[in-house]
Amino acid sequence: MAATVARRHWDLLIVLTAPPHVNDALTTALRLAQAVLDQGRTVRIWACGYNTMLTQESLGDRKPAHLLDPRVVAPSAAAVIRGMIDASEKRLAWIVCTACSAERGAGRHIPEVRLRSDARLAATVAAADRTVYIGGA
Amino acid sequence: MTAPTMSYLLVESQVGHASERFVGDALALAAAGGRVRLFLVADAVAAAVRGASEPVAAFTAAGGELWVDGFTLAQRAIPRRVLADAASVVDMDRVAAELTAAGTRVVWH
Amino acid sequence: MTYLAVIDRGYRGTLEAQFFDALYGVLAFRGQLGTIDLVLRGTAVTAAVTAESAPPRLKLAGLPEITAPDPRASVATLVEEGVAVYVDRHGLTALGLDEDRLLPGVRCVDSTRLALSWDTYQHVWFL
Repeated sequence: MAATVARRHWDLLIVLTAPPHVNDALTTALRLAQAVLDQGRTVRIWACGYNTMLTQESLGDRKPAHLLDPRVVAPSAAAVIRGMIDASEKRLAWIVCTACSAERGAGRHIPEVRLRSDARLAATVAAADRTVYIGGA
Repeated sequence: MTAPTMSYLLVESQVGHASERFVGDALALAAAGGRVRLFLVADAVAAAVRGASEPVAAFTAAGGELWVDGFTLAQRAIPRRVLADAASVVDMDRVAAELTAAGTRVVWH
Repeated sequence: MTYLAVIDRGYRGTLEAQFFDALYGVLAFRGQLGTIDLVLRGTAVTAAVTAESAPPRLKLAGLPEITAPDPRASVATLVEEGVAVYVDRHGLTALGLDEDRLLPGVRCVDSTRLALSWDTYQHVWFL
């Protein structure tokens, strides 16, 4: 008999398509994710569109220097996402849509994230108790 | 028309005509007897200001619950005293609890 | 799974979208997602209306012709494939458009009243 693969189930999936840096959609989505994590639940974020650029290794850990106050250290989006994943005790996962990533030339991603084909979207939705779709791409 | 069976958490993050139509959806659900929470976040928090939005006023008059994101209000320096009386300022913990509650449908605009 | 997809912003840019606009997304993903009913609202209602003239082509020096989205073709295909496509009456009126120019198979509704059917869908997504 073939072995079955146990698929993990998640409390919340956030499909994030609204592009970052147009408004505070990213901040809001991450705040929501953190609040759900603080409840002891699990969260997956599927990054679509320009959100696929947020987890590139090339971003490094920091944003460009604050010209007026060099003491200020601003983490890059990749560092923020990596930090949240590391602190979550495997209760937060970040998925990068490979089609969107390739279209935007988003290069190597931080190892903490997973790359997934958009052909897996339905399966990813099915693996969550609740899905929040943030449109606007 | 029977009342909606699900409890709704409708999240509005935008302003403008499309936003007003979404609030209209919230109103329709509330007026039909559904339990509807309209959570205003991002640019949409301005619609919670007293007198700013007729659709939002109609929604609360129909029994809908108006929630406004406290973090966003503070970032935009919109004081709570200018908000409509029906507005409840909430934090994301409250939203998370509602969002993950059984029987709640979340629709994000 | 049953989805209600709502599109309330129309044209999002020729270069930005090229062939991949929101309607292409509905066409491309419905195979894996399951049943998708579509509502067109706001500036997206024009996707359900016969155009009075062909849109101009984008010409930029040194570039091949850009394939622009063809929302009316996408809507026609969706209808052919049995997708329920609804267009918001309020949106048509706001743009001075008549129901008699609707593409065949598109249903004109008050999309606010349609919200009362959201219970019947497993997901309601504003794209």
